[in-house]
Parts: sequence; C-alpha cells; structure tokens
Amino acid sequence: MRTRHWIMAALVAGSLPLASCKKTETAEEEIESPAKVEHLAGDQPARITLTEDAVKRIDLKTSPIAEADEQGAKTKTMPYSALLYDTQGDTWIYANPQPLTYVREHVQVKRIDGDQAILAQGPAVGTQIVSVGAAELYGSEQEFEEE
Amino acid sequence: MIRSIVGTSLKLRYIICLLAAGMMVYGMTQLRRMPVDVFPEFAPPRVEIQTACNGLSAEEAESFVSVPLEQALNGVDGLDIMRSKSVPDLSSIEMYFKPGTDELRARQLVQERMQTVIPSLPTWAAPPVMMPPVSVTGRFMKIGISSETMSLTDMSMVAYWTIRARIMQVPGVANVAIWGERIKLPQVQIDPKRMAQHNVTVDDVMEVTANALDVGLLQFSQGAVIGTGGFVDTPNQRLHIRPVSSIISAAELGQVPVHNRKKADGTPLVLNDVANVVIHTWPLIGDAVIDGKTGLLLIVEKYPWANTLEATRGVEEALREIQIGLPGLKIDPTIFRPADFIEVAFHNLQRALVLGCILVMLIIAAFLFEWRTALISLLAIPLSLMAGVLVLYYTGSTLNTMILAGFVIAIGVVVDDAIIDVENIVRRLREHRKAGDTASTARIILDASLEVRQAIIHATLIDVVVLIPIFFIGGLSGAFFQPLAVSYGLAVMASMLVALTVTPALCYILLHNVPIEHREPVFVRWLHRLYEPVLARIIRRPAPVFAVTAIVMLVGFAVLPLLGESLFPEFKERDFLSHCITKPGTSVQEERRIATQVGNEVRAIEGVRNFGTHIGMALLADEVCGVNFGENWLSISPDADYDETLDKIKAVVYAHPGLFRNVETYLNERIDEVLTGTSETFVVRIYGPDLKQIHSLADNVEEALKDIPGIANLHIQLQSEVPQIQVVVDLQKALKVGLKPGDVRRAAATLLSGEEVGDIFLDGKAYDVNVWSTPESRHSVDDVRNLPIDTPSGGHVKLADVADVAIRPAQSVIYRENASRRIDVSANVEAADLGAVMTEVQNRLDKIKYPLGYHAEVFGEYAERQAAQRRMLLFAIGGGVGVFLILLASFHNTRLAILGFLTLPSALVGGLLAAYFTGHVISLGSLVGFLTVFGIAARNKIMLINHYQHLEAYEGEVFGPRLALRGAIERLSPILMTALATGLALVPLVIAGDIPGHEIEYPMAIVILGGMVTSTLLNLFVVPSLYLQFGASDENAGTGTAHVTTARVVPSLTS
Repeated sequence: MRTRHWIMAALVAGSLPLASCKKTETAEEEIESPAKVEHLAGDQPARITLTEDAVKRIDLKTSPIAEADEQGAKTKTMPYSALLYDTQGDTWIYANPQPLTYVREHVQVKRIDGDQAILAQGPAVGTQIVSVGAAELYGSEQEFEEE
Repeated sequence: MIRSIVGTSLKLRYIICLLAAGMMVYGMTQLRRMPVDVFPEFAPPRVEIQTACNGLSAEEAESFVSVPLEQALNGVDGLDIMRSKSVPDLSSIEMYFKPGTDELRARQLVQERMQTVIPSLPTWAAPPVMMPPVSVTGRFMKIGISSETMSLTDMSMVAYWTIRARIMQVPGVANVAIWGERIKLPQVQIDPKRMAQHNVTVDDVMEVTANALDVGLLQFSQGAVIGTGGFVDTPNQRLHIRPVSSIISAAELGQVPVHNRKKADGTPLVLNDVANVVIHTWPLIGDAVIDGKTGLLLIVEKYPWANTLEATRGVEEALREIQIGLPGLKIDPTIFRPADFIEVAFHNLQRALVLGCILVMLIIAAFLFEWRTALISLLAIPLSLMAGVLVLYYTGSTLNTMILAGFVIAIGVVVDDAIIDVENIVRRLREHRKAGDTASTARIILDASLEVRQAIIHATLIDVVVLIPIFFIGGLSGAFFQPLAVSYGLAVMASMLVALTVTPALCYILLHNVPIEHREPVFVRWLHRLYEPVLARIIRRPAPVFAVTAIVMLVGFAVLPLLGESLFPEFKERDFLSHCITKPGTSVQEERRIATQVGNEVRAIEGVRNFGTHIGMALLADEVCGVNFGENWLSISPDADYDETLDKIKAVVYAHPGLFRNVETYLNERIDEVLTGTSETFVVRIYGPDLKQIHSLADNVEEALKDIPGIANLHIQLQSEVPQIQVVVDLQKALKVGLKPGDVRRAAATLLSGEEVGDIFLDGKAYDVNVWSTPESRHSVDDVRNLPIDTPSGGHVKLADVADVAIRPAQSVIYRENASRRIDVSANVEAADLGAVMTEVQNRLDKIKYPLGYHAEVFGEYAERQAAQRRMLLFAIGGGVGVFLILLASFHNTRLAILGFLTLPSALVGGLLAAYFTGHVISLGSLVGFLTVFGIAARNKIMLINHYQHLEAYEGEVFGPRLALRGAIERLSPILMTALATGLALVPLVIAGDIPGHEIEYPMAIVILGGMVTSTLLNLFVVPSLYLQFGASDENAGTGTAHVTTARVVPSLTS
C-alpha cells in the first residue's frame, strides 16, 4: 500500500520538470538566409548582399561593360541578358561593386543587336554587371506572392 | 423485442451462421473493388471552365472572356461561389456548388448556360472547355518523358497521339495534361525585311497560305471553302474522285507562288522568298524539365469515384505495352505515385491488424480457457466490421483514412461486445452445469445474453451520443471528419446486431454438449487470488486511493493546456512538391534555367529517386499561372531516412535567393488549399469594377483598421504588376497613311503572336498551319517599335510611326469573385476577445463610404470557427445531458447517475498523460483514441454498476462491502479481458512507431494504452468503493434488505 503511494507521488513529481518542451524551429529559420536586402534612404535602389553559397546556387555570372565603335562614336555595350525592365519602362542592370554585393543601376538602351545591348547611357566601361541571374536578384528585392 | 431476436437466432442458428459466412465471403470479393484513397472527397462539388486565348493579355482575357462567361453562368441552380482567374493566354472560371449538390447535374446546367454565350465570345479565343470532374486529390501519377535521340516536337507528337490516347482509355483516368508540349506545326515565319523588299503584305502571305491548303481557316478567303471530290457515273459504274493533297510538308508549302509575282530575275516569287517555311511549334505557355534537360511531363488525373490503386496499375500496364514500340523514348512513371503511399500504409495496417488479432485470440483463450469461446469472440469482430464496410460500399464511399479511423474507434466497442457476451454466457453455463441445473442450454444462453444486452444498450447509446457533435462541425472540416462518425455508428450497430444474432447462435452450436464446466480457467483463478485481498483492503480504507485518484486527475487536466493542437494528419508521404517561382514577369527561359539548376542540386542528394519539373501552363491542365511559376516534384526512395533526406532537400531549396520556394507533400498542399484557405484570422474583401479604385479603398480600410488593439499583421494583398508593352494607335497619324486601328492591330497580331490559317491532314492526324514571324524580328522592344505595318497604298510604315509603343504596368493575374474584381485586406487577431475586436472592425468598416458599385465583406475562418464552436458546444451540452439521462435510465438512481457522469472523463486522464509524454500534441489520432477509451470506460462502468444492482436485486446480496467485493471480482475477468485485448491489439502499432500508414493510428494507440491503464485501474479499484459510498439505493438506505425474486442460491466463485 505504502509503496503504491510512493510510486504515484514519484510519477506526479516527475512530470512537473518535464513541462517545458520547445517546438523545433522550422527548416527555414535554421538555414541562413541566402540574400540580405538593405533598403537605402530616399529613392536609391536597394543593396543586395548574397552569400557565396547563394551565388553558386543560382550560377550567377558577371561580365564587364565593353566599349564599342558605333559609326565613329564610342558607345558601351553589354549582354542583353543583363537587362531588366521595370513597370514604368525604365531599364536597369545589376552592378557588382564589391564581391557578393549587387546594386541596381539605371541604363538607357539605344538598341538591341542580337544578344548585345548597345547603351546610350550607363555605368563606366569595365564595370562588372550581372549577366546571368539578374532576374533572381530582382526577385530578392521586392516581395512577391505565390499567386 | 430483444428477447425475440435472440430467441429466433437460437432457433434458426444454422441459417444465421450460413448468412454470416455468406456475408463474409461476399464482402471479401467486393472489398477488392472498393476504391481506396487517403482522404475522403471533402471538397464541395466544383466545375472548372477554361478558355484558351493565345496571345491575349490578362486584362483582355478578363474582359473578353471571363466577364461574359461569368455573367452567363451567374445564378446557376445550386451555385455557391464563382471565382475566376485570368492570366495571359488563359481564362479559368471555377464554380463551387453547395455541398450535397449532384455534380453531374450541376455540370449539365452549366453546359447549357455555356451554349448560350459561346457564339458571342471573340473568335480568337478557342471555345470554352468544361474540365473533366476530378477528385480533390486529383493528380495520381506523373510521367516524365525524355529522349536522347528524338526531338522535342517528335516526342510531343508521340506523347499526344499515342501515349495520351492510350492512357485515356484506362478506367478511372479523367484527364492527361502534357507540360512542355511542342506540337509539330508547319509554320510560315515571315521575315519583315524580305517582305518589304519584295513589296508583299502580311495579308498576301496569309491568304496565299490559306488558299494553298485544302482546308483554310480564314473565314473570308477562298480557302475557307473545302473543295470536294465528286464522282463520275459510267453506264456501269460510279467512280468517286478523291483529290489527294500534295502539300504535306513545309518544303512543299514553301514552293507556293505568291499571287503571280515575279522576282527581279523573272522567276516566280514563292513563300520561301519572303518567309522561312519550317516545322516549328506554337508559342510556349509552359515547359517541363526531366532529368536536367527539357522534356515532357504528363500529369494524369482521376475521377472522384475512381480507385487510385487500380487506375495507377492500369496506367503502368498501358505504358509497359507502349514502351515496346517506342525504343528511343525514356518513360518514367515513378516521379509521383501516391499509390505507393496507399500501398505501404495499407500493408502496414494489415500487418498490425493481423498481429493484433493473434494477440486478442491469445488473451481470450487464456482468460476463458476454452478455444471454442475464443473462436466465437474472434469471429464476431470481423463480422461487425465487414457489415459496416459493406454498407459504406453500397453508399459509394471510398475506403479512406477517416473511415478506417472510425472503425478503429469502434474496435473497442466491437471487441468488448464480442467478449462480454461470450464471457457471460460461459460463466452462466459453468455455474448452472456445476450446480446440476437441468435448464436447457438455449435458455441459459438466452438469459445470459439478455442480462448483458440490456445493460450494454445504454452504454452503446452513450457512445453514439458522444459522437453526434461531429456531424455538426459543418463546413469543409465537417465534410472531412463526417465519414469517421458515420463509419463508427455503422460498426457499433453492426456489432450490436452480431451480438444479438450470430454470437448466441454460435455459442449454442459450439457449446451445446461440451463439458466446459470441467475446465477451470486457471489463469483467472490466479488473478482473483491476487485481486481479492487488495480490493478488500481498499474497500475498508478508501480514503488514500481517493486522494491519489484526485491528484492524478488534477495532473492530467493540468497537462491539457500544455498540449498543442494539430488536427489534420501529416502524412509521411515519400512524394514531395517544391515550388520554385520567380518574380512575375520573368521569362520561361530564365525560369527553366533556375528550375534546372535547383533540380540538378536536389537530384544529387542521396535518397532522392526521381525529379520532374513543370513550368507554367499546359493545355487542359489544372494550373492557371504565368511562365514564372514552376513546381518541382520529387520522390524519396523507401530505404532513405525520411527526416534526414527531407532536411537536406529543404536546405538546398531554401538556399536560393530571389525565389518563392517551399517544400511540402501533395496531401498537405491539398488540405491547405481546400480546407484552410487563408491563414489569417479575417479578411476584408473589397469588390468593385475598377482596380485602381478598389486599391485606394483598400488603403482606406487599412488606414481605418490599423490602430485597433489586438490586430496584428494587417496587410493588403500584393497585386503583382509586371511591365507590359502597350500599343496605342494614334488616330491622326494612322489617318495620314490611311490606316484604321483595327488594321494596325491585326497586322501586328499576326507578326507578333501568330495566326492559324489552315490544317494539313495526314495519317489520321491534323497539323495546324501557322503564319508568324521569324524569332529575330520580335527579339526586343525596338523590334516591336520597328514592326512594318502594311498601308493601303502598298507601302509600309513602322508601328512606332502610327502608335505609341511604351511599357506600362499591368496585372499579371486578375482575380474575380462572384462576378466582380476584388482585393483582400487581411489580418490576424491576437487579442483574447475575438468577438469584441471583430465588432470594432465592423464598426469602423461601416463608417467608410464606398462609391456606387463597390462594397466590402468580412470573411474569416473565425466566423466559421466561432459558429461551428458554438454549434458544437450546444450539441456537446445536449450530449452531456443525454448521457446523464441515459445513465439515469440505466441505474434508476440519481446519485449513481451523477457519480457515473462525473467519473467518466477521469478515464481519459491516462490518455492525456500518455499524449503529453510522447509528442505534446493532440492530433486527430489522439482524439480518436480518447473516444475509444471513453467508449470502453463507459461500458465497463455501466456493466459494473449494473452488475451490482443485479446482484442486489436478483441474487440476494445485501448492500455492503461483500456486495462490492463480489461484484467486482465477477467483473474482473471481462474488464481485464477487454482492456488487455484492446491494449495488446495495439501493441504492434506502438512498436512499429510513426511509419507511413500509422500517422493516425500511432498517436491513437498511445492514447488508448494510457487511457486503458487509468480507466481499468479506476474501474477495478476505485469504483467499488465509490459505489459503497454513494450507491445505496433509496430503498436500501437504512433498511439493509434487498428484494429477492429468485430463490436460486449461486455459489460464489471465490470459494
């Protein structure tokens, strides 16, 4: 009889400390976010920092803005695959000022020639710009829904 | 009445047994044909109408197709909600009907309405198509097709004409959609430069092409008249004439002369001179990636009434047959195969059931010590379940997890029914025979059955009353859980019927002349020897036991709020889907690139067996989206570790920036989509015609609601805008060159979007012939600006000369609901008083002024949940009252009824503690377990107390400790038998763990085991003392005499 009492009491006492039990974090929180977006003051476009792993995953490639000769005048050219249109029709590219950092910059396109875009206005010749993966950077900048 | 049923069964015992055997055999054959699935069909009847409008933007699809269709379809009989989604190239209208509507009749009515509106739809939209009826988990197979040798167009032709056609013949298949389809088309790709060079117009090219074919589609061209053959009558014979088309390939089409024109060197001008005449395909609305490169993905859907396993096997066999004739094609039907899960689940369940049955048989044999009785009990169980299943089969239901869960709850009742009847019959037989009684076996059996049955009816009624609230959950959750209540009710009633008919009959047949009184249950005697002294001591001093019981109960109920809630089961399927969606407006090439990238990484993970991706839309498919939408489907091999592989997959998927991505199972996705809708507490839906206006109203609503205390995460639905090239014809400029806006539009359309102008029929297939432009001439925005438009005077102008070509924002997807555009403002409520917050929300909304034609409605899970909770509370209270009344009717004693009522929930404490220590969550399985334990505990308690009353009334026991002791000892055997039988039957489930198929059964088994421990201990050690304290009947109180009706002296079993 006594032993049964002690067993019951032990059960009760033992259950109390086990009261805390945290739920495991979801996988999304555990994994480091691949892109960090900093929104700068004013009208300036955001600054996106990717992890090295993220760059490899989306197979991001950059190429420099090249110089070209157009009927005597000097113009800049870049790959067509770097070009993005926004909803107002303005044209943009992603410049790569520092490793793993990308900033959207305005360009003006004169015309498209095959897979090259001839620019009327844009960053300086030699600037590294994103030629593969610009769409993913654009997607990191602004939230969008699954639809 | 019960007496006559049992009596008749005893008289006609052989017929009854034959009928029972016949039913079992019949049931086994029918069971094979019963459709098996994981979920019941819980979605309301739904009809989808899709209209392909190639080349139209989302807004045009909305205004030219969705709106007129909605207006025609509004008000169809039984319609509940009508929603539409308009994307570029497609309009999709979904009509949800009220639950209970006959789906086929609804489709008939919708079809009739559609006929009235089809003639008025624009001709560039293909006719609206009513999608075939599909199950809520409609996709049951995905087949990946790739090839090292065949081109994509060749693969597409084989896939459509051979593979799809063959699969559609398999019974149960409703639809097959092909992603990545690139149908072979002879295509005249106009080169604007060469066309301008030779002074040829777009109209010229179209007319010439259409006229060159036997069947031209241009309405007002000569080619629209199909030349027939005719016949020649000779004096003897009639000879029919058949013109055989000589244009059967692109090469021949290219040689067609253009209006008798001549080139500079005098040779005739042919189509090849102004265009590239090639074999190409239609503009892509989607794509598929198989094994790292572009391929085809076929998705097979089933009817709501189809049998998943049968249909899957049928399709696999059909594919095996076809593969022989298609050596260059690699066909992979294992990318997504939910039948795997069903097969594994049922295999595991079967194994657990068989093991459980063996254990039950051992228990019964050990307690009754007579193999015949064990056999009788064991036969009763499948009989009851089979009867229930047959009824379900004839009502057209599928065998799914909810129905199985209902049967499982009923197992407690069924086992108990089987045991107590037989146990009592055997006990009485032994008693009477030992006493030398000459009463006939039949009479003893009859009396013993009735003795038990009258008590048990009340207990069964309590079990049924407890389950009634489930019928009133309402809404879609109700549709999900209702099959559970239905199957439980059926099993319980069947079990009662079996106990009244088959069990007495079998007992009589098997025990008639068997000297069972010579066999004493040794095991039971030993238990009695253990039990009696303990119980005697407790009866003398009940206070400590009461105290301990009270403490355990408090602990159990204290644990209740600590438990989480997760009502919908999470199935451990090995098939996953992972969304990979880029920002709306992204091109199909980029989506394909990134999806292939993700795919290659995931395929490299060990344990991932198959992988297939579908992007965008396909013809007659269930996805309505843009080309930026990608869904990856993958399956894990059976030997890989489930959780580990899943974590690795998630790690890869979430490491990609700039995408919307997730990983989930198909079943969970279906539950989320149909049952839970939005995850927010409430939604303010603003309706109105103009998008900008409803956007600004949404801003007003957000402003008005944002400072209400308790509101969190208030946000307006993101409306994704994409850049769109808008072409607005300048009337003045167009006038100067003699052009009308319509001319400009048509010319631009043919060059930019393509136009079908005719068909070539060859080998039983029809090939569309298409006029488009060379890909280089529509490569950039400037190309659109420079597009040459023919003028009436014979020259060309650039499109930018007569129109304003600019990029403007546009909607990529337009949602409509109940024939109006809409936008959502949603929020969560994190205050305790949901009602007060919602009242405040309503007040503020009422103050906002809406222009004519605009209004807002408040929806939310909360409204439905509150209504459902109120309903359930009402019925729960009603149920509680009902239970009390039943107890009163059974015990004829108010104090006992109150006692019984109060101690019933305490049986659940063990289950609560068990749930707490193994997962901290109350899931559907736990609920099922609680109900089972409750059912058994109620029965045991009623049986015990009734037995006491029986002893008092019919066997001359005086109310007192001896009565309590004797009654409890006599009930020890059946109580322990039921507890052990039910408990041990579940041990295989617990040991197997949380494996596929056991997602509901595993937590249920844990709860039942825990609950059985406490309820059995309660019934054996506490209830006798309680009865002594409170159970004195009003007549007995104080007088100590009992009313004796028979003079039979029955020896106590404890001598």
